[in-house]
Amino acid sequence: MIEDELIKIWQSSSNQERVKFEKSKLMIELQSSLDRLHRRWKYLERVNIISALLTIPPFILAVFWAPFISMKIASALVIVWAIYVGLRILPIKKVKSGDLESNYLQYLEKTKAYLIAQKKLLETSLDWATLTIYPIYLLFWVGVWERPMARFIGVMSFLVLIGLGVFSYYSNKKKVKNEILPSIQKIDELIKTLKD
Amino acid sequence: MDKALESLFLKGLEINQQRLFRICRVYSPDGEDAKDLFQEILVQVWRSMDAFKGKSSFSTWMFRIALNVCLQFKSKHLKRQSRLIKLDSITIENFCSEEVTKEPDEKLKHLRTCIKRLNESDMAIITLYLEELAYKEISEILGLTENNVAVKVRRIKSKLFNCMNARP
Repeated sequence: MIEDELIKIWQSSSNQERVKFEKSKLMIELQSSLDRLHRRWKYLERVNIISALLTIPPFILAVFWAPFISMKIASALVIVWAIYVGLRILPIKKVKSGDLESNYLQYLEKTKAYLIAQKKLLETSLDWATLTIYPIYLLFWVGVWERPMARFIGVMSFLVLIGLGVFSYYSNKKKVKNEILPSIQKIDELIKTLKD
Repeated sequence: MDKALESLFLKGLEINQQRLFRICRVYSPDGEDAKDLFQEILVQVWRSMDAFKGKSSFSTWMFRIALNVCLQFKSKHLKRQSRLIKLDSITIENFCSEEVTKEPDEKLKHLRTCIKRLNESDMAIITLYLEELAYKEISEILGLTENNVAVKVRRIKSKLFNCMNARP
C-alpha cells in the first residue's frame, strides 16, 4: 500500500457522506446555543451565590441575638470558616482546564495542572474544611449543655455531622482514585508520547 | 458579534467542514456522535472568535480548537453540555449511488479502525497528515517541532500500513 493511497482512502469518505449546513440558519442556531449555554452557567453561578447568601446571614443575626456568648463566638467563627473555605476553593476556578485555543500540548499541560489542583483540594479538604468545623460546632452547643433536650439534639446532630464528614472524606478519596488519577495518568502518557 | 468575524467564520467553515467532519468520525463511535462532536466544535469555535488574533491562519486556529474539543469529547461533562447544543441546520448527506462500490467503503472502515487503535496523540497527528496539512501547520496545531512531527508521521504511517495489510 503506498502512501498516497492512505490519503485517498481517508478522503474518499466525502464520496459517501458529507456534512452540509444552511448558512443563515446556522448562525442563528449557533448564537442561540451559545446563549443557552451562557444562561446555564449564569444559573449555576446564581445558585452558588444564593446558597452562600442564605447560609451566612443567619449566623450574622446569631452573633447579635444568640442568648449565650459561646453561641455568638461560634456563629462568628462559622462566618470566618465559610469565607476561609470559599477562599480555598476560588483559586481552583482560576486554574481552570486549558483554553481550547491553546496548541494540543499546552492544552494537555493546562488540563493536567487543573486536575492536580483538584486532586490536592479533595485530598486535603478533611484538614481545612471538615475537621475545622467540628470544634466550632461543639462550641455552639456549650451554652445549652445543661439542658437535657438541647444536649440530646447537640449530640445527635454532631454525630450526623461526623457521618457527613466521613462520607465526604471517602467520596473525595473515591473520586480522586477512580476519576482524577486515571485522567492525570492518561494525560501524562499522551504528553510523553507527543514529546518522544 | 460583528459581520467581519461572522464572514471569517463562515469562510473558514466552508473550506474546512469536510475535513473537520472526517476527524470527528474517527473520534466518535458512530455518525450521530460525530455530528454531535462536529456541532460542539462549531459552537466552541464561534464562542472563541473574539480571541482570534490572526497570529496563525484561521484554519490552523480552527483545527487547534477542534482537536482539543475532540480530546474533551469523551468526558461526561462535555456530553452533558452537548445536549444543550442542537444545530438543525447541520445535516449529514449519505450517498448510495451505484458508483460508490463496496470496496472503498470497506477500506475506509478498516482505515478508521486502524486509526482508532492508535493512542490519542498519534491519532491527532495522523488525521492532520491525512488532511494534507503541511508539517509546519501540524507542528503549530500540536505544539511540536516540525522535525518531531515528521518523525512521528513516518512511524505512525508504518503502523497504519502494517494494520491495513494485516486485514483478512
